[in-house]
Amino acid sequence: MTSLADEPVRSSWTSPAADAAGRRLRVFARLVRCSGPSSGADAIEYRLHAGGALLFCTASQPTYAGALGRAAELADARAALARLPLRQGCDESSAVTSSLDQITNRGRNAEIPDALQDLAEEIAVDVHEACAAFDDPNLWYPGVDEGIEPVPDEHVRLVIAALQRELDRERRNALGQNVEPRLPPAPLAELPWSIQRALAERRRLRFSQYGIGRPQWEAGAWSLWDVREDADWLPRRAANVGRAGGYAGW
Amino acid sequence: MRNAVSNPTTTPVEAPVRTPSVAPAPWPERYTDPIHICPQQKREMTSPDVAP
Repeated sequence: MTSLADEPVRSSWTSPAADAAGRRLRVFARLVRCSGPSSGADAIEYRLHAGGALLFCTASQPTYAGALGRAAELADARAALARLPLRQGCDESSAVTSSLDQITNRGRNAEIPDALQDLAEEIAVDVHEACAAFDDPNLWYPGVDEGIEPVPDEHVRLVIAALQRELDRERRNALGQNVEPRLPPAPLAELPWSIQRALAERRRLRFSQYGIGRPQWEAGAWSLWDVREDADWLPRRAANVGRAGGYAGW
Repeated sequence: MRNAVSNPTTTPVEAPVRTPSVAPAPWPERYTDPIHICPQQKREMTSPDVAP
């Protein structure tokens, strides 16, 4: 297992190794970069940035765990990481979709920020696993009974339609390559209803693991400090490396 | 004189005609696997415009 905690903060934004543990730490690693060393008037200085914000300066190059701990202690740094945009690549008119008739697979849609890539991949794994029901309608694919608000049927349909947009646009061949001959998109609305419901429930749970619920969605903002710490957490793609049925092609 | 023995009446039995069934290919050979979508498009598939 790669230790992200002990790794010095890199000079550019980076993706943590697939087997680097820590849910919040992995998000933090995608948010920050370290510049320096620069020689100031008094001493060598390293600067930690998140986007355009300077979080803090320090005399030695921090590790990711050290930088996260320091940012939590400093009021300005903490505040900078407490209100981050939830959507990118969209304008105000397409920021919120609340009914089926707004769904279209033309153009593009809002995407979550790079720092939440792990969330995107967890949901993609959930969709992948749900598709096994095309071969086995009695697939054991549990939903979520506790820890989330119940998901109404109409929201299940909205979520499935939203997921379908990208499947319609991003077709691949049988090897996962972006070349011809491409396979049709998986028709998620043809999955058994129980599977569709479980998928929507899992999506709600995944968002909640990153501290994102209805209030954050309405505000269009999320906080690093609401992401579960989960120090031992690993993405499922790392947990499945080398196993039969693992997620090839990541 | 040999007794005439009538042939027993039998109903012809027709062997059931079996149409060879072809199992459909596994779903990853029929549809694009969502897991193959590139990272940026996965972020879009997460659909932050739709409530969790």
